[in-house]
Amino acid sequence: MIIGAPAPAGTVVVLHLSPSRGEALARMLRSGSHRASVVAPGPGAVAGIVAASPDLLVGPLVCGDATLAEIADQVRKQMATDVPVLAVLGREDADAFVDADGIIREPVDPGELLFRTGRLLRYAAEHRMLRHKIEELLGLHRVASWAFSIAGGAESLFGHLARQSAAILKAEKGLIMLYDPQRREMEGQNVAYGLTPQQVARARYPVDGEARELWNFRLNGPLLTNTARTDPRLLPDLAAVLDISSLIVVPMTRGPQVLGLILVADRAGRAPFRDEDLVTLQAVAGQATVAVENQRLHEQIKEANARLQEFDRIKSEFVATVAHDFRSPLMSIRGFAELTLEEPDLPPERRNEFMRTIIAETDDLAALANDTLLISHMETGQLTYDWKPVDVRRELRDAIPPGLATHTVLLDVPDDFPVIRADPGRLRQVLNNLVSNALKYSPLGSTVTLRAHERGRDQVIVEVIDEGLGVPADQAGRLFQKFERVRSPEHLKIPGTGLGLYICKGIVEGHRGRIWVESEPGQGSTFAFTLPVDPALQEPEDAPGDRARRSSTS
Amino acid sequence: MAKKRVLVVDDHAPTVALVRAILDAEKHTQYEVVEAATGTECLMAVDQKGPFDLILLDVKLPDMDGFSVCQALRRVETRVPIVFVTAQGDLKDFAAGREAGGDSYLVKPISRNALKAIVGLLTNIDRAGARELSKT
Repeated sequence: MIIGAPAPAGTVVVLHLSPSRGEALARMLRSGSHRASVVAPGPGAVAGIVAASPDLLVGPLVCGDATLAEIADQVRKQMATDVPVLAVLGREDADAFVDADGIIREPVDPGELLFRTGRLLRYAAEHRMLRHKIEELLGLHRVASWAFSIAGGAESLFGHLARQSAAILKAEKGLIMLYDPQRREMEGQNVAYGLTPQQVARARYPVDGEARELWNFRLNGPLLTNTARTDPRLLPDLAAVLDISSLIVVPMTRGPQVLGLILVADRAGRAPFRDEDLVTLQAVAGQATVAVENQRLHEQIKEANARLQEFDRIKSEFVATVAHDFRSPLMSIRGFAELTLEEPDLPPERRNEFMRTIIAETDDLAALANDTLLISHMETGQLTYDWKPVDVRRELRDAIPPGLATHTVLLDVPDDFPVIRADPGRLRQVLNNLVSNALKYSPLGSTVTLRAHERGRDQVIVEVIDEGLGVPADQAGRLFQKFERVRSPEHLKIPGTGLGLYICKGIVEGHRGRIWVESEPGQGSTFAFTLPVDPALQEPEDAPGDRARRSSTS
Repeated sequence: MAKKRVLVVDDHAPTVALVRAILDAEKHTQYEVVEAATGTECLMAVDQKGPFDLILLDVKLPDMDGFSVCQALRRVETRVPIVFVTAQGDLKDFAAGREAGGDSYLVKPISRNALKAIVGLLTNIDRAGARELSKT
């Protein structure tokens, strides 16, 4: 008697013309704790064998009309697995051609039979395992080969990953979920596999709150459950929404950061998921992470590119507009100089008038050049501020043009008004702009009030109040954008570049303040801005940088 | 000889003043310059102060662009010569200027001679002759 190493127990079918000899073999196999049954050769043999779903087939080389090999072939085809065959050789088979995985000679020794059976079953198990691994690797390869292909866009990538993940684990459903850092939510991504778009749309859950207490991919890592509906670790809704009974979830991670999950659910035929499936899906997740990251980077590059093109367009537009605005004063300077030169008989007052125009136009040109440069610095973040203590009352007083006879200007600043920290030069630009606007757009003889007061302990408000044309409410926001002016016939008759308020806004926000206009058409306007008493101690109001960027792109 | 009436449409006041000064300095022809600072003013001037012998029309006006002004003008005033005044950057749009019904164009900065030449030429076209020409 041969004593073999403990072999895995299996299901064995004995194929034998003689029921008694077949049963003898079956008994020997049962003594080795295999499940053994006997099937007689004939028309129903193959069906009978397949019904028993054997791990091993045992029988003589020839079974009635067919050989053992032929029957085994049919069985393998129908079961779609490689069932091994152990041939029992009689004395007459001494020189026979043997097509089998193992042989045993009659008379059969029970120990040898169990030894050979055990070997074949072990080989078969290992063979199945290898096949499984190969399939996994092929699946991984299919996932990986997509990792660097971004041609199909996000949807097709998610669809592919979901389908491949499910296919590798022979599951009916697959879903990619991604973490949205803005909403702090996990969100199911279209296209999923085996799930409707409606189900995917509902496959989302917050990563905070209740979700944190239950299964959490950050803390608990991957999860496998074959009782998804009742598993207390899962969010109760999720399994119901997706209509699943078993699932495996693994995270896609980049360093400590979780980008999302791969969820695979409901194995075909309701077979349970096993621990090795979890390992497989983790390998898939590794590849999928690369793919998802690639896709995301690709989207980012595309977005950045679109933004750059938009910036480029805005820049060209700016250059074109500025070029036009430069040409007009250049033209009058050149023209008047030419006239003065070519017409020696001009009356002196005409000549002086031409000269004064040339000087005024040169000043305009210089101011426009300064504004353009300032805006270019503002928009590229190169504008620097020279913080100094500033006496706002004095700055307001200095903003009133000397010898002004056309308007009355009132100064309304309390005596105890604090000294603030600001860039005096830039603040002067803001005040000069606002005051000159107030004078420009209000009737002769009207009053302009310059007022400053404190708001709370750490802010001041400066207001320039006129009795002029006013600003329609729907244009108040647009007015602070580049090249924008009030669109009314009265306003447009008065020359302006539409740059002044844009610059004011940039400078005020550079001081971490805010600028706005309050007005009723025909009743005058109040242009007001806040300044922190000390910008270093001030939180920005409504992220000025962002707003400056937004308004410059709009 | 009767004064030639020229409508100058530009929101940049010194430009208008310059055109006026250049035309005033002309010895052989007398010009009467009428000003308009916006497209709307231009249309009103044509309606109320016309007829004109020539319109100098800035392409970039605060309320509308010169091409639309020209189109609107052509609906009521088909014969007056219209000269666009453009910055170089607007030149690519000159096809649009022809389309809109313009006759010629000047690029800023305009030289005195160019302005004199084009104004002189276009204001001296015989109106009846032009009408005959347009029929053929």
